[in-house]
Amino acid sequence: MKVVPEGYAHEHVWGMPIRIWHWSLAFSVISGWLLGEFRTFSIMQWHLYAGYCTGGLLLVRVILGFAGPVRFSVLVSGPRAVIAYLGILFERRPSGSCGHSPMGGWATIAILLCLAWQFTTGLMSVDDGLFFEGPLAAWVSSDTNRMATRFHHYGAKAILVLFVMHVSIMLFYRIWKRENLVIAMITGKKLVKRNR
Amino acid sequence: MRKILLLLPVITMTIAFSTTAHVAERDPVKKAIEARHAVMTLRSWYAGPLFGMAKGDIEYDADWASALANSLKAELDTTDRGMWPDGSDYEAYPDFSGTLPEWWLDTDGAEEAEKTYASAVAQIAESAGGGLNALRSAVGGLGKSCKGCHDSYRAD
Repeated sequence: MKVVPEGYAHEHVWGMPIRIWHWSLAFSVISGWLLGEFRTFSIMQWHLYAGYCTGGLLLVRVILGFAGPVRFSVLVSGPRAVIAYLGILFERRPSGSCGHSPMGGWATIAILLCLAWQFTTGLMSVDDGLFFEGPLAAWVSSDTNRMATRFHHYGAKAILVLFVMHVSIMLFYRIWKRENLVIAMITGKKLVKRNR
Repeated sequence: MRKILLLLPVITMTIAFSTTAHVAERDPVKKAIEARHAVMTLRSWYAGPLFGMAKGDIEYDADWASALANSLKAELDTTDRGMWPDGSDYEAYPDFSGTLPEWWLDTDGAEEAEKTYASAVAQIAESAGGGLNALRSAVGGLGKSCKGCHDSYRAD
């Protein structure tokens, strides 16, 4: 057991549902991305299933974001809080935020938006090499299919960028700020600043 | 009478302009691109049900599958180099052509892509009528060749 730095306490920040949700999303997005990037005729159906899982998880998150315990209003902070946090970002100590930091909240919003974009465009996309299409592809014009497909391919690149950023920031916290956020997302317990 | 005479140049010009407009539509390069689209439409028409059967969306029918695959094979003998004139790429006709300039620049790669497609088609023509499993594995190869070429030489 690591020693808790002075002024901090291990607090239960992320409940079981949101942790299960997070790792399910990680699994569905990573597998969906890989299945799409390295798609063949025989695995393409699984790319669609991964997409449906991601879409379902997003829907759950949106409902929880407006009505549940993990509201978007808590996630979103004003520009002043973000700038203030940027000022202390490189200090070699954990953020101490009770949940996401002001920047982390916005990163979460960016990831959710990007995945929603990817899910929506995927529904209307067409791969006319493998003769696969999203379930709504037949409902829109072929111009829309082409546009959605192009946007879906851009989305895949954006997801890769966000994924690399996400993992790099976790490493930055682990190495520079001495806080293991991966364990925190598994156990739900995070270092929180006391007497705030 | 004078009014009718005045109308004459107007009528002549209208006819002249509409003829020119019509001639402009007869751009031979566009015609070639249209022919390419026709080839792709036909290939997709024959291949579609084969993919559908392999996916299980359409019930497998050995005779139909065989006929479709043989049509794909027969189509291979119908292409013409004239369909691929210089300056008919996506950059020259962004709203009309989907073929990237790489198709003309990377001749070895393009030739390889055509060979891959031809051998995938030969494979499916041989096995499409031999049961659903045989069709499925051949469809995998066909999909790979279609996708491979689209990825490298077709604009998104």
